[in-house]
Amino acid sequence: MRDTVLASDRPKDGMPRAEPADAVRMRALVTRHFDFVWRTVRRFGVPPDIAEDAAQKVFLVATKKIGPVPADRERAFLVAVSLRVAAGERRRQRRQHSTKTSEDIALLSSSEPSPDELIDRKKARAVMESILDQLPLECRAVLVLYEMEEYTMAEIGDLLDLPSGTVASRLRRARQLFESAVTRYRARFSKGDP
Amino acid sequence: MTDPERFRMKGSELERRLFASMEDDAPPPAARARMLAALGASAVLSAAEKAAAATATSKGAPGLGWLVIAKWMAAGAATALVTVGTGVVLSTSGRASPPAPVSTTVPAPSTVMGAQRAALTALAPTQELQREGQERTEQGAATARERPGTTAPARVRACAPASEGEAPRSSAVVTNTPPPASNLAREVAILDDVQRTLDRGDPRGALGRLDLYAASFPAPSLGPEATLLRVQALLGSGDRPGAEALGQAFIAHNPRSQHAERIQRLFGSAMAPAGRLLDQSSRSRTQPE
Repeated sequence: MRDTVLASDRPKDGMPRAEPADAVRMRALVTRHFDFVWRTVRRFGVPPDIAEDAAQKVFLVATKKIGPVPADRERAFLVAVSLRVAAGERRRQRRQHSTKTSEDIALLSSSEPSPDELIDRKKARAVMESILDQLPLECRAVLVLYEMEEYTMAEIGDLLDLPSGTVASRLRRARQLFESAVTRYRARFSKGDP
Repeated sequence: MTDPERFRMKGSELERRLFASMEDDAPPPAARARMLAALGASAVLSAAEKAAAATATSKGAPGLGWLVIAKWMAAGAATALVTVGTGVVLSTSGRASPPAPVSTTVPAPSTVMGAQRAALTALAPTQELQREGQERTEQGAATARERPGTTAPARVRACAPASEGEAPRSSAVVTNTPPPASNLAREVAILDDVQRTLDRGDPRGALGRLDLYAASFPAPSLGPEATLLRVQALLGSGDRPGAEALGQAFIAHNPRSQHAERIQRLFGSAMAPAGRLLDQSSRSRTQPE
């Protein structure tokens, strides 16, 4: 997955860089896709406080490499870069906050709301993020694009440059993992755990 | 290959709630404008530096003088495009369609010179800046008087295509009376420079630039960003008590700010709760990230 994603972002000799003449295109790109990119990096696991930085990073990469990308592939290019940026950020977070992750999990299990309390969206959001964080990024990406952005599997294959069979298997795996996590979460409360 | 039914359609109540909780995801209101401003600076800096480097190479004199000139040209051109780019954002912010191409990608020489001047003044001594700011205010007022009923900033007008029958605008207006709104571009340019200085491992240089920034922009648009950079610079220069004092003061006043979280992370778990900083600032703590 990662290799596939990185392919479009890999530096290539002789690749034309964005020139001032591309500035109009870049402004249009930001105007059209900034919200989508911000949402995507966020849902791919970038924390909210640095989601804007991550989105900016995506577009700054685009500034240098969007030149040869056809107009109808711009969103796919941005998704690929978003995935790469999110992966880098997740690695960085793991390195810098390796202990924090386990603390967060402990905190979540001790203070997470019961299913009935999930009416509060913020609480639901926290639980959702903890569940998504358990998914491998390649599965998470497909799940996010399918369930939240409501792309079809064919469109996801196009966006991520993946064969349709790979998209289907990753989505199946992601949904299984998601359902398992929800079931575990629900079971804790049905057994009377706090 | 048939797409499975989505959770929001066939999932349990809990699953639907979980997915629904992410529907509100959206960037902060000004994030896109900040992106456009940063983008303008980055793109034009890159191009202008490349052009300057090519010029220096062709003349066979890539000395320090040429590099300095290239930097100034780059900064000036960046300011020009950022100014124009921000105008496009403002003028198109209410539209669903992308902005129409406008004649801003290749600024006229007079505009570039004006932008260079703006970039130069961004790094000029404070008194000079204040004096020039006063002049600009007076010039702006004079321009407004000359154009009664005109409310749009000059940079927006400069970006808009000329309507039929409208007399060609004088480039002197753009060149000689940079509008106050271009401060955002200058703020971005200076803070970008501060970040680069920090990246180069020169926190004291970054502090000097931040002092200039603070003196130039008493009511900055990017104050939180500047504070975050200053905390980083203070930490980098070894002034941890000062960094903590600043960080805690910021957090105390902006507890819900995203920048507060970032500042908190700079110090890690060792940072004192708001209000206790001064008591603990002298203690030895772990090094910043």
